[in-house]
Amino acid sequence: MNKPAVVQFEITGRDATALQRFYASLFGWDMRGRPGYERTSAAETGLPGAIGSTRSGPNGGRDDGWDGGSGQLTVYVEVADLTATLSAVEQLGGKIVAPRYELPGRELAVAFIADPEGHVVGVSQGLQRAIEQAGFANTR
Amino acid sequence: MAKPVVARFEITGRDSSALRRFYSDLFDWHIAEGARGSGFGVVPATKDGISGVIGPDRSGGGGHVTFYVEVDDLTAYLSKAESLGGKSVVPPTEIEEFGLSFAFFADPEGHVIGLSNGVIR
Repeated sequence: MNKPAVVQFEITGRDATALQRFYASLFGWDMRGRPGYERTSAAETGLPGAIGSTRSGPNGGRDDGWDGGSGQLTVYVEVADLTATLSAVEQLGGKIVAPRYELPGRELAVAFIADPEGHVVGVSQGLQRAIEQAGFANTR
Repeated sequence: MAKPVVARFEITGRDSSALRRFYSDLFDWHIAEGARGSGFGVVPATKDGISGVIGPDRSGGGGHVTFYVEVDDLTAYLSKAESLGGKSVVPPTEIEEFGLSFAFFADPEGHVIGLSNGVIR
């Protein structure tokens, strides 16, 4: 089993288009995807990433009226067993902020946790493979 | 000029040891001791993932989850961020013992993100 690793960053906010424009202009990053949730490859940004709206929810996967508040900048840690990780979170003093969510038909599940000081971190199962399948994993 | 890339993640907070314990227990991370006396621990990079650091928030605030984007000119990128609607949060700061410098800015929605120079060689 691979050790859990930080495999993606994500920046979400109220105005996804403005955020995408800001980072594209600042760093020259090329983003691809849909307007509410655009992605970058490892070749482009070192670590694959995404910039989207707060309503897109963890990893751009939600269409159920999820409200991510004002959004955040965070990273995703890919784990082998998301359910097991989530069950350990509370026992270790953290909280589950967004419960396990299966992206339809993608063998990909994501959640948000908060550490004991309230910092929000994404946890995923299947994200690394999804990144590879999308061709976003290639480093330069 | 190389395109800026995400070089390292960072989690800081009030209780560095408790945070390090939480993440090492949760993700089975072996967190190596950073520079002596810094309170920072280092999460090594893996095949798929970038390295990171977990440590105290030196400003005395609640800390953050963020990442550093490696650039060749901190001052130039801070000014550029400001001209695009962001704000400079921490000016370019050198850490001599590691031979690197960093700065922080906030994007137009207030997300704080690091700039580094010297993390990637």
